[in-house]
Amino acid sequence: MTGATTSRGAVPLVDEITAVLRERIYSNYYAPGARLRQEHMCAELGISRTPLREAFRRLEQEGLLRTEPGKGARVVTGDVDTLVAAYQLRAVVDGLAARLVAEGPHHARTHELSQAIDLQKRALDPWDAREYSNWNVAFHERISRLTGNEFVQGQSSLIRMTAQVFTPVAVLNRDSAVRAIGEHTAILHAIEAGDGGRAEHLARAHIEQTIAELRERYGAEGA
Amino acid sequence: MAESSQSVRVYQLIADQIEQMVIAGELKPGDHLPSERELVERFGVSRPTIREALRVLESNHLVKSRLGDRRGPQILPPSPHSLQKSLARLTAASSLSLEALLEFRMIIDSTAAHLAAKNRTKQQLVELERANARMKVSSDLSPKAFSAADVEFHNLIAKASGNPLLELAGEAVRSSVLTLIEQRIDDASNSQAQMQTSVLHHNDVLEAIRRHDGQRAARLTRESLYWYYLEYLEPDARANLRSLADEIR
Repeated sequence: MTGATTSRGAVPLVDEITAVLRERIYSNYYAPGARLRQEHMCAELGISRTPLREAFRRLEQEGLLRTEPGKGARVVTGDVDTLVAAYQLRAVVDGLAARLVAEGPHHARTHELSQAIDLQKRALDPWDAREYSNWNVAFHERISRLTGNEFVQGQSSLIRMTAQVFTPVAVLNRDSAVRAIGEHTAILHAIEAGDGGRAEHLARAHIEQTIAELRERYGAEGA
Repeated sequence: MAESSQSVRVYQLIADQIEQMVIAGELKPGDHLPSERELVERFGVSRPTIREALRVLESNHLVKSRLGDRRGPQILPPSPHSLQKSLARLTAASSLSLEALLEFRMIIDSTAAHLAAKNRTKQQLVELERANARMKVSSDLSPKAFSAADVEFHNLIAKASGNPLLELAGEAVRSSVLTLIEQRIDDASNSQAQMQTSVLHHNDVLEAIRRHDGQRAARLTRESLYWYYLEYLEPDARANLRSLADEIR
């Protein structure tokens, strides 16, 4: 019972540290462009350099960090054009994912999708951008997982990259969330009906709507 | 017959007396009791009576004797063990429902989270972050590893609350809930989504604790419990738990 707090159980240290840092980036604790100082982080986390370096390497592979010789590691940054480019890929991947779930053996297992939508609705009153963002991400990640297609699942880091790293909760607004929840519900219904074509169309249109909003707000040219 | 009931009282009296010394702080966790021979002399009773008294203390988790240790048994720190045992007995006899346990847990855990947000140290925050990361990683490994990481996360919060009673009661009630649930863990893919929901809620609780926002940490803790156990509850019980979760919004 006591002493359990020090046992790490089945989880390898590098996996744990990678997850800690990934979450700090997703939650904007480390802002885009922030420099990560190894010595400081080792002391803070109470670990040696070796696992930290390995964690950095993995996060770089995921596209969340960039290391430059002599300059150390920085959290990725992106301008609006980069964000739009990432969303353009997402539009295709999300569309495909929704189709696969609608047509696949899992289309009956939509309970977890409707739960994510319920949780999004709860974040509206009172409006809580952070909570909404989490359940928005969960909805899209669940669709990706339900495809059972590992290549589609391999793209799922794009979801949090676009929805959280590059879109801090401060810029989310309730009106867009209300619109998005309506779209999520329509996607869910198409999946439940087993209508792959409609699910794909709606999921794609959902992301394209986000791109349109971005362009309107920032006047991005698009890639 | 008369004689045996007499000796029952004697060893119980001795056990009570030693327990009183612990309660009064004359004996502290880590201290050793005198050896059996010294206890025989001090209390002026037979060796079997002393041994019986020590057995009572040991089975109540007040002391622990180690084989080969020439010193007397060691006083143990307070543990949730006896509380846990009572709860376990009550749940096994079906006189305590999951609903009752969860309602109680909502109070304990959310209060602990509230206080942890106020009182946690930087070091405790990092420990919480790491436990949270282990929850995340282990949700891909197995429900069992996940449960272990989850329990650890809550124990750390209880510790950070600075209230030992919350720590003890929390540990006891959480393990009772787990015992009830373990018999019902269903298909793996469904529990995957359940674990993910839980990870996200815990994440938010952690963020609130980072920002010293006690009310938010408490509310999200209740929210997290509600969603995690929803599927296990009957509609009436759900409504009760929902109402408790919404108490402060």
